[in-house]
Amino acid sequence: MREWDTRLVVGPNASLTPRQALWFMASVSLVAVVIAVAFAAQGLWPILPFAGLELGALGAALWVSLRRNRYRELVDFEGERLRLGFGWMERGAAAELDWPRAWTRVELVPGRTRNSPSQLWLRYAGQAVRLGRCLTDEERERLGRRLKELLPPVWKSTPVGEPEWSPERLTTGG
Amino acid sequence: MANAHAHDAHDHHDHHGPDKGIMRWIKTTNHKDLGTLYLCFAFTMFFIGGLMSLVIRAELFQPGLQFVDPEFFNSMTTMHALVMIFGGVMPAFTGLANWMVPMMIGAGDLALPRVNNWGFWILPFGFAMLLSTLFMPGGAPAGGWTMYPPLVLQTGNAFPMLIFAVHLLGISSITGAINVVVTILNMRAPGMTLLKMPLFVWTWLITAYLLIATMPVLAGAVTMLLTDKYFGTSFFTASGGGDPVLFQHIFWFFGHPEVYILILPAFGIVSTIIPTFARKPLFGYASMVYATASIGFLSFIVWAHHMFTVGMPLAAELFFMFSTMLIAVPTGVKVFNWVATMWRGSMSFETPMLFALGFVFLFTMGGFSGLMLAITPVDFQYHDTYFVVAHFHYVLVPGAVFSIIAAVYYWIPKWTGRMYNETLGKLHFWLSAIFINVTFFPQHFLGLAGMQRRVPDYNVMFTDFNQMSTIGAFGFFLAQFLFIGNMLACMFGKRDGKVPERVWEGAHGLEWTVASPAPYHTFEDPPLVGDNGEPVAAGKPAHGH
Repeated sequence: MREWDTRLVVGPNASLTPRQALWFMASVSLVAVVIAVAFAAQGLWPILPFAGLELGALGAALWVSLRRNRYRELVDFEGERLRLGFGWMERGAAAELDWPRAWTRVELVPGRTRNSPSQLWLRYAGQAVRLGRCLTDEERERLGRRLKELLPPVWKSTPVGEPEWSPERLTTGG
Repeated sequence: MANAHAHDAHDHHDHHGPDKGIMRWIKTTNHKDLGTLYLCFAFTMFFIGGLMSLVIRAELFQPGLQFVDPEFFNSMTTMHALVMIFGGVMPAFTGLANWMVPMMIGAGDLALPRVNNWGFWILPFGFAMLLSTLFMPGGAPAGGWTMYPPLVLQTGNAFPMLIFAVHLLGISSITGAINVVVTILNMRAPGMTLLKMPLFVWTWLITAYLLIATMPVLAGAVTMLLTDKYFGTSFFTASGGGDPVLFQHIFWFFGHPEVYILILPAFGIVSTIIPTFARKPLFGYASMVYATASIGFLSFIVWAHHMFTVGMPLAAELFFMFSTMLIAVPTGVKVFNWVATMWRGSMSFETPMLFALGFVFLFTMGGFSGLMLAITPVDFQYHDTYFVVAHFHYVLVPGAVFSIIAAVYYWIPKWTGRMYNETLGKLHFWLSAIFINVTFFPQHFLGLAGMQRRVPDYNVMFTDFNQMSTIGAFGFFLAQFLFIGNMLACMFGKRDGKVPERVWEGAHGLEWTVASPAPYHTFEDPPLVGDNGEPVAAGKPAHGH
């Protein structure tokens, strides 16, 4: 049973699947380990630890990238409530918030310098949450516009319109 | 929940824009800034390595000893190679990858920007360490860049500095390679499948694979040299039961893939430039990818052709001879495809195209002399002569270096928003092409006549060709000031007239959809790549500064 009227899902662009990463890692490891073991068999064992270190670094880089790929921000609108969830897919939300929809404000702060990324904030009663870290400026602006549509100020509050049943998804290419 | 708020509130002040002044360059994690740093570093090293080559050539202008003593001469040959390979060519290609790979695949930056920053800043420290040995008691390393024991173990105080510097340069290369691999695999724009990637991206992916596979071998090899000298081990010390020839095997097991690390990105650059100025798509894209991968694979099984003369079983000599010759097949596919791309194309000859054509012609000559060296009995005669010097310089200078120069001319309008001076560019090409042949072509004859490499004195019969070679080297070095001036004008000169997004009429690819100069953050909206590799939807490119 759906608990939300409108859901925004924010996640990074990713062209690497865990399966592809595994295959790539396996192929590099096979080559590097075969080479290192072959030389170790000739008595040149110091190549082995360097191969291990390097494969560890490659594995860590792939793991970090795959972990980032699973990052999601969920913004659920349900009647008068706004629910925010942050975390990694398949792990449940690392943090969740439940704010009154009518009192939540959207703020898009331009970058400090012309080349700094913008920041998108949701604020309520002295609390603030930053959204769209994995998005580009253009996407953050679009997300901010959509949030403003969905979060009208309290004095303009009208009954929430027809529920939108399909989740909206925003991903970044960069 | 409260923690999440606090965490977020702290992040309010973070940003990824450039700082002012020098701190921008020290702290930057931006791929374009780091690309610029890599390229500036590489050209500084080319200059230093070039000066060393002039010392060598000045000494060899006449027989006898003129300017430097033999020990310093040997230091120059050793340092020239280390500086040019690890300080010039490799960082230059990494700089080009930094600049272009994210733009070509529609990504905003490299996957690991902080690692990218560390990877670059290791380099100046590594080279400061290496170059400082020139001022040490006992002088700089003089046993050749291949560091063969037992000769290299006679190096004085410079020895540990050499080993540590090689480790640092290796770490830098590995961080760069891992970053490029992860970026290409994970950050391609929607629709950009592997077989739609530009050839430059493909060649870098395979290069990075080779780097990751072979760098531990180099790291292990130099560490064993260190322990042999200082910790009483006998990996390569015959008196302790070790085998010096074994070092040659592991060095070249790294060294031959390294040769392809130095040339595969060049193939990618030329495969990008030729279709642009022939105004035709690259002929045989898929075969180019497979040929590159084949060269990468073959590079692991040909190493011993560098050491035919150490005395190997006949079967091994035959194996390494034939496997080396086999490399001519995928390389031939590439050359054929470049020529077929130009066939009946609407060719024009701007400076990048001239350098790319120079590459195809002169690199192929280097390839042919390589085939001669692959023949074992012939190599027995040519080994350690100037024929080998001529061969690898034909591959690396009109090969790797020409491709780097071509790439800079090709992309600098995109980087700076200013067009270079075409007349100066063409003059630079012709002077470079002439002087490079004046420098290295006579060295074939010197080698065939028996002149040994790495020796500061020679028989008087070799004088004429050596004088030609020296004149060519000085001419080539001086001609590069045209390039430096042209590029500095692009970087700092007045901007008159707007450079369009698609600088070259026949250019294709995502990098030509963004403004010139390319904005600090490239893609504000992800491009969607169509069947032909061109953006078809969304993908609103960022505006310029």
